[in-house]
Amino acid sequence: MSKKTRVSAAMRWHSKVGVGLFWLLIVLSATGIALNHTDRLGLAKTILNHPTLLSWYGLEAQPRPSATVHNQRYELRSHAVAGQWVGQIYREAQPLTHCTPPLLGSAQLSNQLGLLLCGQELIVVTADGELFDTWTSLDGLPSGLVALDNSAGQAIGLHSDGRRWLLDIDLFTATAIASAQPLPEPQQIADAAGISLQTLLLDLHSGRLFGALGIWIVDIAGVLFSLLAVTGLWSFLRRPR
Amino acid sequence: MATMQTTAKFTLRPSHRVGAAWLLFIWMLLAPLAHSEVYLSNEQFSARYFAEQPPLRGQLWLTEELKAAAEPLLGRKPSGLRVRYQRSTDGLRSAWIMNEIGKELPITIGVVVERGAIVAVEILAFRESRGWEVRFPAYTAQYRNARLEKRQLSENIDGITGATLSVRAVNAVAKLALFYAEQLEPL
Repeated sequence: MSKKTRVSAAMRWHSKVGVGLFWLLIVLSATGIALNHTDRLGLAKTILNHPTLLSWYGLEAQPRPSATVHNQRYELRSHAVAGQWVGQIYREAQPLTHCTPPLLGSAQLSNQLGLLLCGQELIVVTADGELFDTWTSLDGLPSGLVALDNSAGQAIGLHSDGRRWLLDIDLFTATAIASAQPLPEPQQIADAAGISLQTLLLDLHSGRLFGALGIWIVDIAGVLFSLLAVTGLWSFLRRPR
Repeated sequence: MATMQTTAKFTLRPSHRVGAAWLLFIWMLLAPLAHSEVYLSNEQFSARYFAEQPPLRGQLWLTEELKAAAEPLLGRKPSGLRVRYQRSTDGLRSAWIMNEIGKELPITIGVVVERGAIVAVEILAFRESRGWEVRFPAYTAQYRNARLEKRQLSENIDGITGATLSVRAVNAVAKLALFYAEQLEPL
């Protein structure tokens, strides 16, 4: 085979494979560029919960945990980051504040203030649905609270072991009071409510979105991309001058 | 019968050495993910910076005007209707503990202000998987003596590669604490 024939055969292979891989290359490039700018594009914070997508990931779409205080509906939206659940309380589709899942309980403290108990925080909200303050264990909130109660306008935190804490929302102090029957442990978060856009793009980029077959396709495409580079360079060097 | 003297010598086969090296490598990769912890409680923070006398405790009400004035410092309006603070009995020193989201999770940051300048910045709790280097004293020491000048810190704060969002959060809280301290009435 002459030099010219070999080059033209290589170029035919190059162009056919190139056309065949066109869309895959575009998708891999686009997802790769997007993943390089995860923070700027807010990919990790964009949560997708379309039923088709959730079912593709083997997750069941469930109603988000919510609580109503002073006729204001608060919703917990959560997603996993590096094996850790991260949540945010939303009111009327607007983010209000951070809330470590699960949302354990709520109580109306007075005409002005209400409470939302999260895994590690007690969120104080106003009757208008505004954030008033957040009490965490660093400020002395007893850890292990699983429910809230309200006694004559005073907040009571219930521990799973039966201990009861009088919670002073003004000073953020907790006082142990008489114990009661132990409460059942709170259910762990069951609302695998969404997939982050970062996860989706990552799975698309690696082919994992389509299971083992997708991974093999991306692997083979990687080998073909390398061969394209080789045939491209080879035909450039061997082209008739 | 002659007694055999044996010496226990611990050796690893070459294949095990490779395995151990891999485990070490994986541990080094995953180690940064495990930095989700509390370094200092509020009480310890308070005791460290108000050692002579227990501080007075107060709260600053965040009015709409105050929130609007604080917006350029934080990049958004501060959330909540009050900020709790501690103050020395002479009123010169105040300490502010605030939460600010780094990337996904809140970082609990304590700032001590005296006569309009930062005395100390401490990271009380860091929950993110990356960016925990902001807790190192070598980093937080940069804030010492920083003042608020034209909505910026007077001291140059060198960032940390890979911890951009955490650095941004600490900067914002440092500016906010200086601003809030300015709002306190003299005792």
